[in-house]
Amino acid sequence: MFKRIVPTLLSGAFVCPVAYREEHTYLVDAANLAAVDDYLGKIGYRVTKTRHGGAFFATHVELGGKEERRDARELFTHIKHTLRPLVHFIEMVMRAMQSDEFLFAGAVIEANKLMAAIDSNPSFRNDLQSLATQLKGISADGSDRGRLDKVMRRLRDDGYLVLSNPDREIYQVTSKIEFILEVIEYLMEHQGAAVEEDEAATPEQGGLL
Amino acid sequence: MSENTEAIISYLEALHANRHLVAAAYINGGVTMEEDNQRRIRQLQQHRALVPYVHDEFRLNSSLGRHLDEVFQRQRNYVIGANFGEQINRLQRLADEFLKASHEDRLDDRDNYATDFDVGVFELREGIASTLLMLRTLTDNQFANVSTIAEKQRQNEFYIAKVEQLGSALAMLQTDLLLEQLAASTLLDPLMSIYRHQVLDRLPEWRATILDITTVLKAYLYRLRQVEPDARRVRSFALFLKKNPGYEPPDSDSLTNAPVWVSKFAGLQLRSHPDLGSGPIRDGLAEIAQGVPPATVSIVRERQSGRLLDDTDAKRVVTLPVKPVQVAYRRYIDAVHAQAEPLSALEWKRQQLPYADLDDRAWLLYVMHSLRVGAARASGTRGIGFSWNERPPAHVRSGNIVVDDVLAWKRT
Repeated sequence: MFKRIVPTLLSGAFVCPVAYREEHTYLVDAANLAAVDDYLGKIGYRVTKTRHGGAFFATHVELGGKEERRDARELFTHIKHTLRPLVHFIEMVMRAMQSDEFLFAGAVIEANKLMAAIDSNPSFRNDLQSLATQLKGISADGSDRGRLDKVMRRLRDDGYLVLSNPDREIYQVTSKIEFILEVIEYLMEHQGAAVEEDEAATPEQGGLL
Repeated sequence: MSENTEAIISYLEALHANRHLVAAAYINGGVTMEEDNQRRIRQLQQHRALVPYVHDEFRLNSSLGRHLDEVFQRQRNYVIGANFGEQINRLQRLADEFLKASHEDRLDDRDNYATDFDVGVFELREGIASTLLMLRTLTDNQFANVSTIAEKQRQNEFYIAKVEQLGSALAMLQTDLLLEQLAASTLLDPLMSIYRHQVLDRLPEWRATILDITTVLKAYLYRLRQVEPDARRVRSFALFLKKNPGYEPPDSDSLTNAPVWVSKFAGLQLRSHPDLGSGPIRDGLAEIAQGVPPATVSIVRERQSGRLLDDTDAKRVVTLPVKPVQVAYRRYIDAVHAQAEPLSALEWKRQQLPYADLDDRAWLLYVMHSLRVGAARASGTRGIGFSWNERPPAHVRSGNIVVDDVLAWKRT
């Protein structure tokens, strides 16, 4: 298992119970984690956990060198490209399915159920269309179902979802979601990217004419 | 018919098919696995109607046993529910009664109490094991039977309390009065042996399981409690992004108080190559190579690109060279037309010096063939008759026709 985990971590993957069940179970054991951490430490990396502990990933031991700065720039470029559509997708799924559990690693998203919810509400259809335009390489043309499939496939390719049942098109949220939650929290706290919570919690209501 | 109903019917049919075995297990307190009942016992074990006891002995599932107790109004001493504390109290009373019966030499009563104590300890063991199994399943699938976060949270809190209660019950098993009571008299040694074998020896494993389940449940509860603030934050951020369509996250270089995740390693793709200097690796590669199907060799012939024909090219008509035998034949026919008498092909050829190189046999064969073809087509040799001189064959049955000469003449 050790032999399998080290290359996985070095590939930049998030080792979580949804995407890498066996590897995650191995790393949960403190002794195994220490062994992998020692090994990576010799080449300048270490194993880090997301704050909620759902995923392990490799980080540089020190930040400041040329390679580290290049990786940080690459990470922020990725965040710039994916953050907006990802946040809109999560928010849309939470509204459409009327549940907050999609922020939870392992949560199940059934594409058919989600499509039915989107179909029943023009607002969700608009959201899906604008989501498709935000993700590079996805055409805004075509059917809503085609757009949804492309969006979910993209999120799967980016490691936020796993297709756990291809026949029934059931996806599962991976623990990489915890990473993005940390990013959001940081941006809101340190970069002024926030609105008043009351305003966010209360949806705008139209007045009677 | 729903799947659940079918499952129940299937279970009841399994019980019915093995009714003698179930009855024997209930009346005798257990059944021993032998060659002739092995398959039936396994089937009942799959349905959890029988559970393994010691060695090859199996006992009726305690809940099924209780059900049969109720049906047949069989009275157990100090019957209690599934509360482990009460079950332990019951065992204390049974041990007490066992001791009194032993002192008073009431052997039948003593045996009855011993049997009940045995069954009681078994039920306690089964109760704890099945509760732990259920808790482990719930923990592993993260309360998948309920869908909302609130339900999961309520169930999680309930089961944490249940696990703590179970932990207290296990602590009691090792330290409570029952153990002291059983150790106090040698008369209680048989009961002590049962208790040790069924319960005490399993305590460390149960405690470890409880600790594991508690840790997971508490971590999960913590995570569940985090979902609500996380969701609020995501909604707030989504609203911010909608109100600020031009917003972009900052560059990494401009960050202050950079969090740990900024130092995430981008990753690299590792590739390895076999060490061909190593014998075992080479052998392994040879084995792999043998299993690889031969590659299909396809020869790709490059087609020359075509070119436009030059209309001014004078050589568009290709003139095929005429063979000497053809010229000779044409002249021979002209000579036949020029005279009235039959003309020998062989004789004519011998008179023509330019065709002296032509082989006689080949010449005769060509002339015969051309005259026959010409006669069939009635074209170039119209008005010419022909015949040939046949030599008698060397053998009457040889089938060969030996031709000496061909004669052709102009028909009148």
